[in-house]
Amino acid sequence: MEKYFEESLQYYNPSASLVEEKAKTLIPESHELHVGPSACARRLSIGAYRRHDEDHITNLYITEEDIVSGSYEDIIPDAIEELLELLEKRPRVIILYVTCIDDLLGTDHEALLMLLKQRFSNIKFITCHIDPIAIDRSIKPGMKMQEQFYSVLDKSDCREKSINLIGNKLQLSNKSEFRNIINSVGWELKEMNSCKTFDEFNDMGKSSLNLVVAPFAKLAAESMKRDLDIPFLMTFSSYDLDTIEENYKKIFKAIEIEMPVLSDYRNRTVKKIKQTVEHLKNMPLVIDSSVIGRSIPLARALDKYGFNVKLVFDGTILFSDVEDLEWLKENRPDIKIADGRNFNMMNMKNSLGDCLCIGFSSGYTLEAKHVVERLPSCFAFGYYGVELLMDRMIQAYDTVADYEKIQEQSEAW
Amino acid sequence: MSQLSRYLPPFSSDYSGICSSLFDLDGMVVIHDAHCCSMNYVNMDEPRWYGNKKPIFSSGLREIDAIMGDDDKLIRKIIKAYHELNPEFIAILGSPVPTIVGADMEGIAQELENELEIPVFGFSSTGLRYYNRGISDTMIKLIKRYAREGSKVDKNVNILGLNALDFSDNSNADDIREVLKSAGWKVSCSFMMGCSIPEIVNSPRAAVNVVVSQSGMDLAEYMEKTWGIPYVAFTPMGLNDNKKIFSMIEEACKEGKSRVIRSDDLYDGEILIIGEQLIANSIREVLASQYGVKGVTVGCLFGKDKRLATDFDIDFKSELQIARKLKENKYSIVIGDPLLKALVDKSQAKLFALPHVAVSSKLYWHQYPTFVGDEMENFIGEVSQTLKNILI
Repeated sequence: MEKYFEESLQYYNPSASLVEEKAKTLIPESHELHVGPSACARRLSIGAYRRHDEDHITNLYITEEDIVSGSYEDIIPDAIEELLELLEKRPRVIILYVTCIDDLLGTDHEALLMLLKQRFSNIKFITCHIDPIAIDRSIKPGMKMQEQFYSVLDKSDCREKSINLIGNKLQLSNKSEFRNIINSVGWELKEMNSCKTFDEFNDMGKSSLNLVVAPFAKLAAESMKRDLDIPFLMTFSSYDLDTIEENYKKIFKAIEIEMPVLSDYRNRTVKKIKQTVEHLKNMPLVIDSSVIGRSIPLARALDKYGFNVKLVFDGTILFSDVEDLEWLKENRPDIKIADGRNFNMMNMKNSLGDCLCIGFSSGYTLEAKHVVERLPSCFAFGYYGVELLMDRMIQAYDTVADYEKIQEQSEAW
Repeated sequence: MSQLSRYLPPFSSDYSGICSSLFDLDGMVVIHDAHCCSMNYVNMDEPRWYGNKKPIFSSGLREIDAIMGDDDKLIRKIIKAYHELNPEFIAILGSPVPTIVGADMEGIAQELENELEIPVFGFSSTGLRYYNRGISDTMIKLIKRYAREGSKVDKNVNILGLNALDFSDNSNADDIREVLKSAGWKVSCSFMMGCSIPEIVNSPRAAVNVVVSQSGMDLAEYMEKTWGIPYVAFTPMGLNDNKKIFSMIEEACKEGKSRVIRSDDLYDGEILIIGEQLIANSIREVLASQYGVKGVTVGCLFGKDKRLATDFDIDFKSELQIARKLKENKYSIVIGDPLLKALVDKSQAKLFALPHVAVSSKLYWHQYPTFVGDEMENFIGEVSQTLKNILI
């Protein structure tokens, strides 16, 4: 997929991981053991402190001797024994995070997990790879991780009138119409991040339908179909009104219930979009993936609404975004699509003048006058997501960005 | 030795030390990694990153390149960037994956140097060592490459080991330079904050070196052996009796003999300072010389340098070792990074928090202490007073 961008040295500006640090999928009553060179887990550990989540993470450092011996996994069982003595409460799940080097060492994870399951019979173990070195694979590192998270669910024979959201790193916003709509027909939405206990999370295995709301959760849904017999729909979170409507239609068709009338939601959102388009007075828009992960589909949607989209930054193009990318290249060649990590980003000059950036990353790079630096820490599925973005764009247009202040605030994010 | 770390985060690694050291120079730095290592440095180990645009890049290493040993791709990417950015030099840094596959960073550097005809430095950093090793290696490489011997210039001093991972980006670096200037010394080269290649070239002309962190010790020894420049190891701290320091610097110059500033009669007493060894030493020195508190032990988090240590200083190699030491309840006071709190709270000791970038990163780097002046003097005074109260 990387064919879309020239291979180059990569540059990271200061905001690059802010969203990622904030958003973290957590299995309730789980504990993470990060196994690798000490350097590898630094960002994740400090990120955990910033989220006040440090109690969920422990590190196990491997040394050069462990690597040379070729069997660093041998130290893991004893380390877990030691870890369990240190933890106040025994976790239900231990997630072993391994790093890029594991891909090259050929660790036998199945054997390791079997050993651990035998030794610690009442704890579930999974391994997750944090291996950006494998980003070129068709199955991206994040996809495999999502699959592993849901692999701890028990298969259930009973089917409840509930729908799982798979792939959202943040909880669904209470303001989203989505939950109300589903609840109004007697169904319930479930999501990992709102589960307080492992048993509650495990009940997701009883749901009747999985909604894949982010592309990297596709593999998890496929595995859940195979292992738990839960069907799934690809209903990626979108800012395109037609796609949102289509998603709702697919969901109600799947649960075999007549879809409630949603035109009020749509009409209200259309009005909001029109208001925003007028308010921005054709101001050039720049979009990157630091606020809304899928910048390419967002660009296409905003272009369709009449916004003056000029520049889009992205990094890795996912399978889900290829069609939109090709469409933009074919039909809107004036919209420049650039690699947001290319080394030239460092010296990129703003040739657009006053512009509004959706994403702190592009705003900082271009020293843009207006920036939507972040959205509230919630998952805004459906029409509400579009309205929320429109609100933030208006706010950004009405405010001159103060990057120092944003940075200061970001320390508390 | 246990390698489990429950309460403390991983510390800054060697590649971050190298990047940090090269930050102020006009070079291009490439970490040979996939993504994470560069992000560690950029987001967690470089308080100066925001507001500065520096050519410090990731190579964008991919699995297939690592397996196939495809160094040519890396070289092509670097050459392309070089032609657009025209840096004064290039540095290529190893990370865990190149370490595993045995990438020859020095060899790649040599190949690039032959092609581009500018200095290219290869660093075999691994991500398995601490930042101070990276800083030390960088300074040694730079001085071996650039320094030129010249006649000594009286009252000229180099500062060795100044770095943003120990001193952050507040006024510490300027303050330390100012302390020396105020005593009539001219700073030749301030390794590695606020220095330039021409200053490195002329650094052997200095009469004396002042080492301000553990990472400067190897360079100090190298310069002593190579050019006969003596060193004095001490971090200016608080409102300490600077006259004493200056007189020791003068003596070191006159006698051509290096020295580590340390009071006599220190003992393993009531206070444990956990952190960077020379900074901890210097806090101990103020406690001893200003307040008469001599029962102070230094717990070295990043390796124990025997040249700086007392017999009873501790080389902490794991979190478990720290936990066990604290559980002995020998110490009434612990000075160290705020993230040590979880461990200190399990003992009877009181923690005096002293943030360290290489430990707690951005969690506290905006609350970094200024070492020279009232703030640290008051901090040390409070430690001394608290100890007195405890002992009463």
